[in-house]
Amino acid sequence: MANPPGAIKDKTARPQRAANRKSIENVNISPEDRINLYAQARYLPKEFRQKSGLLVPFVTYFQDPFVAKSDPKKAFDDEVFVAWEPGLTDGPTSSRFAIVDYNADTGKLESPAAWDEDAQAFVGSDGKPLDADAARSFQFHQVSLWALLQCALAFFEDGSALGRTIPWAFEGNRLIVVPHAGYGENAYYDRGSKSLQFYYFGSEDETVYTCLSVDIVNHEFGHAVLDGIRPLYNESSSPQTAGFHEFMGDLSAILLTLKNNRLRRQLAKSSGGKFAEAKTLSDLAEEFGSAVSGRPYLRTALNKDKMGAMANETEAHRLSQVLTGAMFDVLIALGDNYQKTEGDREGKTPVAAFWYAADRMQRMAIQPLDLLPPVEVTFRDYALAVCRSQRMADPIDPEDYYGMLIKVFRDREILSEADEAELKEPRYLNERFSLSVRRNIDDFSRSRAAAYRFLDDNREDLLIPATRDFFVADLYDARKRGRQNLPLPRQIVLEYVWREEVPLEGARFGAFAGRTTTMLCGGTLVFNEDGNVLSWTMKPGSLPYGGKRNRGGKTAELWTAAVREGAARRATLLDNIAAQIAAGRVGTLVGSAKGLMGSMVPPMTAEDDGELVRFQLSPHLSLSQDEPEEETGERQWQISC
Amino acid sequence: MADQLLIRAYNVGCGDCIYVRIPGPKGGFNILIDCGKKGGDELLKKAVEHLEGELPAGSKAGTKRLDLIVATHRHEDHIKGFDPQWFKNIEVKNVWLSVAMDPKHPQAKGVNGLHAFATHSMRALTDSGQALSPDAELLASMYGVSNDVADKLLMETLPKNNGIKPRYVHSGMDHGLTLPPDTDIQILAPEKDVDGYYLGKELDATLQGLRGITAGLSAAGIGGAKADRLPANISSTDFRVLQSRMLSNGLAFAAKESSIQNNLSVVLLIEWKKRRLLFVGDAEWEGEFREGKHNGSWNVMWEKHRKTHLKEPVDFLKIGHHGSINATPPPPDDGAKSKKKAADGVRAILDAILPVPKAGAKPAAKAIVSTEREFYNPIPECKLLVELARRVSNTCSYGASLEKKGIDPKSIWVTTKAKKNKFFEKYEKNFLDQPQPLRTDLEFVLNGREFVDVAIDPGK
Repeated sequence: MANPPGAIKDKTARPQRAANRKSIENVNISPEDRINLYAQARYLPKEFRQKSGLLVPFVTYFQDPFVAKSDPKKAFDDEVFVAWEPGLTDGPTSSRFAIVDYNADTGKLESPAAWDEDAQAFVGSDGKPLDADAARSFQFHQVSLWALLQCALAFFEDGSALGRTIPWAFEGNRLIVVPHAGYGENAYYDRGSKSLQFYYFGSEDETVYTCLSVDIVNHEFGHAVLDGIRPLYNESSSPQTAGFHEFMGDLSAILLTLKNNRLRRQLAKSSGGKFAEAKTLSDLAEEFGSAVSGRPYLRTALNKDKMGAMANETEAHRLSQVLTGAMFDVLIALGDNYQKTEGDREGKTPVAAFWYAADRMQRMAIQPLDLLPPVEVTFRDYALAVCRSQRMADPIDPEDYYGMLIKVFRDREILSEADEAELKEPRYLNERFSLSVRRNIDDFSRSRAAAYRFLDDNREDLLIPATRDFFVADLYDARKRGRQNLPLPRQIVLEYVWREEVPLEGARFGAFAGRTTTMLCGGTLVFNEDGNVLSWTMKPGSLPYGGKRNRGGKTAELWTAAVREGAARRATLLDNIAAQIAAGRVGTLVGSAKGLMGSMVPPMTAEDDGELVRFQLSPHLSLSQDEPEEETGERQWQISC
Repeated sequence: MADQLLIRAYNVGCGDCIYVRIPGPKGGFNILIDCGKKGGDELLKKAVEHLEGELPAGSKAGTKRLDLIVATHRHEDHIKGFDPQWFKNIEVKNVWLSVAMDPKHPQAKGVNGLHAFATHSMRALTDSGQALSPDAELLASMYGVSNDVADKLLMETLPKNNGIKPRYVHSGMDHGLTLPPDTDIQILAPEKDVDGYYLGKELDATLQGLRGITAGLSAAGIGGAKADRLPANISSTDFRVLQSRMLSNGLAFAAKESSIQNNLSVVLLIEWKKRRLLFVGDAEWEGEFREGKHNGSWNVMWEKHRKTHLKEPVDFLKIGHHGSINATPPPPDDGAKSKKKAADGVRAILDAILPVPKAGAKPAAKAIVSTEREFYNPIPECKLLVELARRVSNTCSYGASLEKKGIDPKSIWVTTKAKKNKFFEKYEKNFLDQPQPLRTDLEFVLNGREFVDVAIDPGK
């Protein structure tokens, strides 16, 4: 039907409009057809997927996150589209999630929602589809929770975010989700049991189910996602790494909550219209603040904390606020800019600009995660990755978002003056990366073993000591998308890690004095499909190169700087561990085969294999908004008998 | 010395059995504060026998008179020894129990409910034979059936045998006793509103909610039978691992409950001839006092009495909870952080009641710790004892003293548990060469003393 380009001069000779075209009717999509289409689903437009049953609507039910804490029961129904899978079954159970409705207090296993193939819906114990009339049964909760998580995972895997299928941190691919785990004001992600657990509290008339809280679920899910893509962050005694995990949870809560159309309407409603009518982005931010004042994971966005004031802060939640606040600043700045440049167009109110910015944040905040080092991440690492990612996605950057990002991070004292100068130094987008032995990317990106050979040949350039073994922590492809959903260069990400032994000498290590722990070192290389290095970030060790081929010049300088930085990291590691021990944060789990004592899950546990001691983060357990107790040292983890 | 007040801590291992004799006519006023220990009760029986010999004659022939028994709180290491058989020749004139033990006290409904709940949960857990971590094991052991027996003996049998009723005491009550001249007894804790101060509204609400929603824990839930069926969508191993890593309310509440019981201890300030003697049971301290929340007893006492009874230093402290770090408020400078300013906060308490003497001066106060490192690794906390030794005069550098007697300190802690948990190396070794207040366990090792005495002279 299309006319040859350039041929149209006469408006009357337009191609036939879509409205005049007849629908192709009487097309039955058979189950086989659907499976074929399912394999290609990501290339099909959304509307088609909805019509053809590749996106299935589910009615879900959630507590409104935008109401004050005093009215937690206020809830709403929402129709949500979830990608169909051939293997959907009772639970709900899908490819990546298994809902197990077990209550640890009563020992009861609730009936699972059953998948009715004919109805193409989940049904309750009475065989009827679970919809709004299903009287809010537990099966309805199960489906709501599952649908929310499916959408959250889709959000992270989408091209606008990481652009790849992401793994979990444990051995296996189905995350176990427990919607009514027992009584308590708790919700947590636990790698050990491969699970997300949601508890409930309140009285019989006013039960608050954390599994129905959109922001709580998304926060905990954020932990699972970060653990999956950077599992070694779990093994850290650095407050910033623990803080980064909290940041990731809050970020997920904020972005996912803001992305949902229904929730956008709820937010507008809850502010009595003030949100929608705000005159400027900063007014809007204030309205947002009052709306979320009762929600811990959303309200952390509104703060003016700076890193300088947090120098001695070791509590992960408090520390994370600086970064969460910074990203909210970015959101507001984006919206502000958009409103200014588009503001003369009809309908581009501050609120519309805000939603536009919230959508953009999916790219700006999530895509950088793949650039992060594999170990011991700091807030500065993330800030640098955000800037780098912006540069890669938008090299010309007419709005100078790069400058805006640097300013936000400088204001929060996450980046230093020296960082700013370095980032703003004029340079080419892609520099020839210094390598001793060049190999073909198609060869070495096939497997971890092949990738190791490539890295090993280039130890000196990559600042990996010659005298230590190292391993490839991860190797994967990503196809991210940028502005207007245009594809970005394909990314091949290669993460490598080694351990440096660090003896714990001195009384300040308490019970661990005389033992040996390890400092994790490593780096992340991101290549495009031609083998050009798009990004390289690394965490050096304190050992010198120690190899045969000693190249001088720039490489030697880099080595000197790396060894110095590695020694500083080592000293900081020791200080962090000692501080955690002194603050009584390292303990052992107290429990039984029938469960853990919540109050006796210390923030960190020490895994001892006889040779080395490794300090791991524990799941954080309470949602209580109480100020954390002042530090009480070892006493905290004693049982009072 | 007839003029002196005697405080005697019997060596009963990890427990308290404290005898106080206030001099006066007719054999003075004789008090027994607690009689219990963890583990076997041989030492308790010996202590009671010895005590009987120290008491003045009773009204009937062949009997002795004990003017007051105080059971600070219901843990076995404080009440196990109140066996009516052992006390059959002793006329007990008064029995004081914490108001929290009064089953009819309306303001203790919450803590008593919590106690019942925790007991039920822990017994089910023990009965189920499930694997427990050592700490969980210890906790579960506190809720054995023998505790019910001990409660009953103390609340019913012993008083009945003496023709009296127990008195449930709380802060601010008149002692109602006939005391020798220049003597007074202040009850500093617990507060009458037990639930309000020590349970807190939140915990209370949680407890109510838990009961309401789960309609009482079923045995299946806590640790009895296996779950009624297995989930179809995960493996049985995955399910078992999941169960072991879910939050156990039973364990959580038991831990909380046992801490709360310590905070319900009767705390007595005995004032005699211008001397102030403080007996704190197992009272604990928490962060800072918070209205309506679960508070530590020390925090509540500081809140209530810092301008009155606790304004001045004391002359004697019975170190709380066998030297546990939980039971003596911390000094201002132990390295941990504090938000509240010193004057009002928990870190002001120790300096107020047991100040460090000024440079060159010697401390005048005294202290005893009745303890044994057998059941809990960090009890006693030697770092705390060394800190307290700066503030009292009756101290001993046990390292040097043991060496003089040719006793190798390594030979003191030699049970299987002691060796496995390295009691000597981890918890004692680094502190033996520093002075500590007199400890019943080491005094026994050193001198064979079956009790440690502190004699108090009248004040000026």
